[in-house]
Amino acid sequence: MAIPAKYLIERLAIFALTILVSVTVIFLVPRLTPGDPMSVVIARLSEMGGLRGAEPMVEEYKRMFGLDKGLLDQYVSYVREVMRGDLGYSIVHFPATVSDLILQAIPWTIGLLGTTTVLSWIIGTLLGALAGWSGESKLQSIFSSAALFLYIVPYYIFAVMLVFLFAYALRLLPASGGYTAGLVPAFTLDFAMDVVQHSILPASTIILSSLGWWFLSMRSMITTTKGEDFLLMAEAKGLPEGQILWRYAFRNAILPQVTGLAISLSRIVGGALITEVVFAYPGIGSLTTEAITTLDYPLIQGTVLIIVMAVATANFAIEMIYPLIDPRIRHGGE
Amino acid sequence: MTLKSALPGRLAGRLTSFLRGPFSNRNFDTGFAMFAILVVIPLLGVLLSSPDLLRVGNSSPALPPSPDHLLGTDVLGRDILAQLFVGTLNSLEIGLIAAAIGTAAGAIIGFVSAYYGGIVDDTLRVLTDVFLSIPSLMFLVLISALVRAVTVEAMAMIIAIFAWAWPARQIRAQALSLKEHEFVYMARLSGMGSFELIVRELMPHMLQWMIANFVNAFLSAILTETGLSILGLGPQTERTLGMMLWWALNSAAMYRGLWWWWAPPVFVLIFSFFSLYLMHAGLEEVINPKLRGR
Amino acid sequence: MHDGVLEVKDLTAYYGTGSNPTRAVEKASLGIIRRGEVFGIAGESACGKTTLALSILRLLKPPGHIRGGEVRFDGTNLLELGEEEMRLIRWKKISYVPQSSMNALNPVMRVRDQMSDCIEAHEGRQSNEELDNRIGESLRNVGLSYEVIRMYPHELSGGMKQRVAIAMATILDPEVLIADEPTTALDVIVQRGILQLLKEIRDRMRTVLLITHDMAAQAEVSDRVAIMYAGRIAEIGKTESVFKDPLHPYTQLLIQSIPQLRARAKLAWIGGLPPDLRNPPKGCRFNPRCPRLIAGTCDVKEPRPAEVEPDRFVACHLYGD
Repeated sequence: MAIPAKYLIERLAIFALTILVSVTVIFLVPRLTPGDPMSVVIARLSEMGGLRGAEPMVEEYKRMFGLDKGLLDQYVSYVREVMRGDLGYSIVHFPATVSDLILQAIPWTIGLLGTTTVLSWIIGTLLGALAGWSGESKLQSIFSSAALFLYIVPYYIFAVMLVFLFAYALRLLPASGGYTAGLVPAFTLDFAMDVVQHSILPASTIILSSLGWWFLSMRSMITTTKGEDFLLMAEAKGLPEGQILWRYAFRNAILPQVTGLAISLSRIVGGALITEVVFAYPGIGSLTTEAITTLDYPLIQGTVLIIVMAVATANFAIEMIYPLIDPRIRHGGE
Repeated sequence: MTLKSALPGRLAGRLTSFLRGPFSNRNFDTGFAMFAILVVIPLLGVLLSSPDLLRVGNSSPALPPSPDHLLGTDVLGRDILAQLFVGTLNSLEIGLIAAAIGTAAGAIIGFVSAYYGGIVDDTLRVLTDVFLSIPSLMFLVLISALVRAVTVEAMAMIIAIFAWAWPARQIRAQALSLKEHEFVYMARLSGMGSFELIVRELMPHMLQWMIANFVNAFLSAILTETGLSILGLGPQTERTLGMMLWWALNSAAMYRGLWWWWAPPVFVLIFSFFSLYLMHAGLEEVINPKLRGR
Repeated sequence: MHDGVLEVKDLTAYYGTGSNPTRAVEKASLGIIRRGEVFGIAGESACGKTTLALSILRLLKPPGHIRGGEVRFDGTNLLELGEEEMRLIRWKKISYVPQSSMNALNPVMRVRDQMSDCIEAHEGRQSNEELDNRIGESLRNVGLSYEVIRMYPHELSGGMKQRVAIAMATILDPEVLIADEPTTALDVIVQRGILQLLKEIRDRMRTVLLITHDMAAQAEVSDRVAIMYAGRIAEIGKTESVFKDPLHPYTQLLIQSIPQLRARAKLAWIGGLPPDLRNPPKGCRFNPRCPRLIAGTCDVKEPRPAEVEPDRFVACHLYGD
């Protein structure tokens, strides 16, 4: 049951390189673009009211950015700080630290994306199995066309359409935010209900747009499995239809679906960036985008780093589990 | 008889038989027809209409659809139908350029990787996988925000940064499987040189795959561009479908009930995605007959 | 006199509808198949043997469909039964071992579970102990050790999988076992074991329908054999008679083409190709390749099976008709 060495080394290399490249890019890109980060800070300070007394602050920023040192030194100290877990302070949200902001935002994202991914997988897979099993029929064609539509249209378009329909036209649901502005987050039922109400639209968007793929792929797997010999055998054995569908067809067809789910889950932290922004949902996608558009460099570096690490780690974990499931990969090659 | 003298006639013959496949497929035909509409109508629209329509203040702002302005005007008085035409063409242009660069670069990398094998293959493959596993949207957001792409071409370049990875992987896989096919061995045995082998035997098969990859990359590029534009990170001064949406959303078009501003771009986008998807599905069916009539 | 257990009369099955279906099985009659005999169905690949077998159990999948005929089991015409009644007959009365049993086992279920589910589907829930005992014994009967019971199919070799399939097919002690190419894709030694198993089933007064193109296997195991060509039955008779004295020209060529170990005769083969069943030849389907063709008759009129001796049927214009 050992994982072949070559495979392991490759995957490790990819994991390490992904993180290394990302860290370097995050570090370099802001510093290479025209415009001095300091001018952004100064501009912001002057917005907030005058530069008096700002001298020490500017010096502090300079030091934090290490702008008084050379590029290589900056890089080294950056890497060192990251290894220590120190992601610095956010410029825009000063004195909040980057880590604090990220830790606040992540639960929202994982909560939203985690539940919606699993939900849409369950619904899509079950419907797809039934559709594939029932074969050619009017109802099945309608469902399949609907699934195709859901699959092709990108989720942000759904976001736009749903917001229009439910938030403006019907005025049923709130258009944005994680909770009503002004409410103090607390572990009360009222607050929870408010959160749920605010997450209905973003959640529906994500569920709808991913449903299509799960449906189509499961339907196709069941159809393929239907043609297999052991299905014929099951029928020849005189087993009741329900048993044949669930114990023979479904159990075999579900394997690739589970893999798909695992991959989907791995992409949670990096995904749904646009959905969060469109709905002003306070997850890590929103935070990242806000950081980028306000040029809050430490926050940018922090959020992008966290997202890349999460995705790379999840990918790596899946790739390590793969060979245990699929014996073909165990023996090298693709 | 040299290869050169035989070329023109053979090329024409090869071209027709090559094109016969895709055009006989229903999915491809539908998609292609839709795509043709997508290109021709905006083109005509742009050629036949006055550029004044796009000027700020050309008309009264926020007018609903009327015979004067078939799709109304936006909050700055610009005609929306005219914007739609230009926007469609620009979005398609971005898709085209990004897909072309991505598929070409990807094809070269994939092919080299498959053909030479060994350490070259390992390095390129790791590189491709790294680019594939990085959450590209996020980095594109980062790059777009910092570079503040102003033109359509610049936008396409940015998208191309990640667009090559998937074609590279696909083409490598296809080239690898072809390499093992018997007809390559036969060609080698019959004494064909490497280059001739690539051109005469491998290329025709690869070409089909590459075109399918291109269509896919096209779709993906437009998806990406629209996504970035909706966040406001698209080409700032030129119009694309995504940017139209961003302008609309940012001017509270929904809140003000200006449905004629945001609905048409949505419709055209859905239309283009479907057309590209159908073309891609059709091509796949032609290449792999097992998929037909699924 | 043995009593009859299964009778197949004028069975017709096509693939596809419309103007040009593939006429896979055309008015095939096997007569009365007796209890306790091995009845072979022989013929080239794609002559319709498997379609015939699947039709008997009504397992034909679209676009295949049965067009007509009778399949009488225990007096009832199976083709007229409802789906649920048919389900009860399957496996318990008539079971099936498909071609390439390698793929007939569910990859995600252990051998034990795959065997217990058909027991429980027909006989209701039973205790685990009883099930294990019965399954264990069934496996022993086919020469497999008890450990196989908790294995997954991919842990077994091709021959073992075949035996598991046979064990599964006999565990409910059905009256008829239809074995479709049970020895193809197995090495000769394993083949021998499988054929021996089939003989033992016959010895227990159960019927086996042995479908295979392997004439040597037919000669070894079958008591009677039917020769099938292009969807039609050409000849039926005791195996020995058919092999020693083939009547139908196709059978004659078939027997001649079997390589002999001792004789130094040239290898013969049958010229031409099997017909396209979407457009079969008019009249007798073998007529384009028949060396004893009677022009004007064979290419015009279909020969009907005639009993030229007791228990010996031929469908050929040279005899009777």
